[in-house]
Amino acid sequence: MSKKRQQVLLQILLVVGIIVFINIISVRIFTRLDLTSSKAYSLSDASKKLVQSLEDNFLVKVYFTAELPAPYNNNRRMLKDQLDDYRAYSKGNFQYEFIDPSANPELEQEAQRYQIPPVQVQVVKDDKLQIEKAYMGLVFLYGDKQEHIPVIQNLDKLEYEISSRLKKLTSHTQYKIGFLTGHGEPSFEQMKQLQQTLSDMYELVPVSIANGQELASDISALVIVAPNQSFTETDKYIIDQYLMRGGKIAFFINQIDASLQKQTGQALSLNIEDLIESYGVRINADMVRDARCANVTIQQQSGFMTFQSQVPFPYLPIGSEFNPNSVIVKNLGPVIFHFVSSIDTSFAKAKGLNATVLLSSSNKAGRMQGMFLINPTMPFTADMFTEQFIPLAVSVEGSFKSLFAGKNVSLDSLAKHAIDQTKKLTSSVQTKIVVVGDGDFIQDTYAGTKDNMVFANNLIDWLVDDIGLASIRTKELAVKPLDEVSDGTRTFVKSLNLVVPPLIIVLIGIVRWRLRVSRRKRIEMSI
Amino acid sequence: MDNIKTIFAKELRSFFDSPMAYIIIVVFVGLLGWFFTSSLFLANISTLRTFFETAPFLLLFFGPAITMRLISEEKKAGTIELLATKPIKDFEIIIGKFLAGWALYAIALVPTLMYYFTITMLGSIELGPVVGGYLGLLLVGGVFISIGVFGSTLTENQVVAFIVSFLLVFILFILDKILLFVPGGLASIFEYLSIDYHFSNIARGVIDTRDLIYYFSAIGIMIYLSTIILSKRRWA
Repeated sequence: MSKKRQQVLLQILLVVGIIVFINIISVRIFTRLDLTSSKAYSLSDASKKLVQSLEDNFLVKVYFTAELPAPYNNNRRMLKDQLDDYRAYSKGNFQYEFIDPSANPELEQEAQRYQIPPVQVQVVKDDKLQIEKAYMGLVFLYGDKQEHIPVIQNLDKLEYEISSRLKKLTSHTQYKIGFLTGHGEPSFEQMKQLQQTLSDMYELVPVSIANGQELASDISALVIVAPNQSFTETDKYIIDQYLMRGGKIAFFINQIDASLQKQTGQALSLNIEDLIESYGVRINADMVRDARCANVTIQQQSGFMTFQSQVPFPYLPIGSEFNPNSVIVKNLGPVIFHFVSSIDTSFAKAKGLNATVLLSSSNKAGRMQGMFLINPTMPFTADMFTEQFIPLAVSVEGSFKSLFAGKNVSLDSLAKHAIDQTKKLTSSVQTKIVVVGDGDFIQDTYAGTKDNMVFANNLIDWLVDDIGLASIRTKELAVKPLDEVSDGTRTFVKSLNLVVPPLIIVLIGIVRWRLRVSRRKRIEMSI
Repeated sequence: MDNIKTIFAKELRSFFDSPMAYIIIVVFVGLLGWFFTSSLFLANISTLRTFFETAPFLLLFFGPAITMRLISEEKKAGTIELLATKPIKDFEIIIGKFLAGWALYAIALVPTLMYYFTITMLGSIELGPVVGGYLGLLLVGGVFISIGVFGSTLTENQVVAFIVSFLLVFILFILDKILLFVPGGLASIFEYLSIDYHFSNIARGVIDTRDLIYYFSAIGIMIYLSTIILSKRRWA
């Protein structure tokens, strides 16, 4: 081998070695730029923190049938992308594997042991449309605990689904959500949808303060839903002190007891108004009407005929004006209220509290005050909808001042022994509350849409935990369906895209060729 | 620098003066259009992902086809010696020709922007992933064309150059699709080396330094090796 040859070989080895080295380093030190407007492909900070905090092997088993038709193979890719992201941030503890259980009865059994059921999908096979069994589920294994997602349905929620399970498996304590009882609040039986939604993440417990028991500090958030009996001073004192100790409260309050059946509404005196006002919020004794509203079924008499029809009823507002700057509610689906009162937060600022309107009415709204007559057939005129963006749900953060600061509390005789008033706190640590002017929107009888539950769930997520799982849920996915167009347009669009690009190239060629010919002619002429 | 520019301009002009380049581009763009339109309303979502995914596959043929004659033709005709007698360095020849091939490919992509405008008419599409997708296509093309240039320096025969280049790009392309048959330790290396793995990242609209470094490393190595091969004739 000549000397030159040796030199060159050495040089090649060196150069390739350096490039390999650069690549090895770059795998460890990297940055990324997410060009999508919603940052759909970047894990949110909440998820990153979660996956970084893993202390032990976290295994995700994905039971996913390979070679699924169009929409599902997309799901597979997105899922893999997402899991890759988790893995990239996990310091090696997050691992996943794809398993294809089809045509392998053992694996199928394994999937079903993990409670991953087969689903039916349509596939094209042998030029025929067939129904086939497919698996699209995930199992999460961490230590001796496990969680699963039976079927991946909604890719928009994928990160939330994964992160919430990550969180559930890794958190040592499960947050307790207390639902106040004893003032005519609905039971869990009457809020099955909400219970189902929340129990994914939280332990729901009914709490009673009837005998002067204090609210335990292990209750991460207290939810007060639609009370209709008045609160005693002792009740208020207990709730107040819970907040002062750093507790968080969701007030879902009906200020007006309104019913479609009775066709009347009555202002409730719950004796809780002063408590909520001391936290910077007033729920007005009114009923908001909104041009954007739900329908009610009414019976109409026409001659001898009775028939039912659906009419829009403005006292069932559809709230979709979410605060776009709020991580709690942005991008949420519309919430249907069942008689909602407006909320006034104008005096929160004077108390040093930070109030944010989360949801308001549409730009065509109004309110009924004083007399509450409810009749779906009543005439509605344009002059009844002159108000804009009336606040319907708010959040308040800050250091709250106690309602009982500098006051002597007249406690019930029963509670006098149980409660040590000398320990009274007059102002709270940094904490937060949410107030919604309707207590019905989460009850099965009145509400019903999933979006109502998501809204309530997000509010509670935000109260309980600030690392923001709520912000993941509302992340929008970029891919949208095409507009519906006629068959003719489709054919036109297809042919255009098929023909025009090659045609452009051909035209360039012809133009260049003509130019050359004419130039040659010019040269020939000049000779 | 001037030498590179001269070679680049000369090569690009000769591309456009031969009917071959037009035929190759028309076939390339025509096939892209066929893939795009046939799945457009079937999937019915406003994304260009199917387009971005089929393009590298077609590029397997397209890349070597436009580069096969770049050096081998000059070798065969002996003009490479003429070039070499001029005060032009070998790496300038390689880079100039590589850039010409790359530019031709970029020009061939321009008509496909029509797909983007089609989708904006039919629905709303985010710009980010589209920018990423085109950037990715350019980089994948860069790698394929640098490999094509390498293949072309190896031989005087254009057909042999095409076949060698095709095999090389095909290996890079197939690496992440045969992972199932590869033992565990090698799998991640294979995946890293495969061109599609890096491309799919960029096509989502995520620009990652890992992918950029991979592409530029690949291009760099191929240009370097081509230069070595080209200068080999002087050693004797």
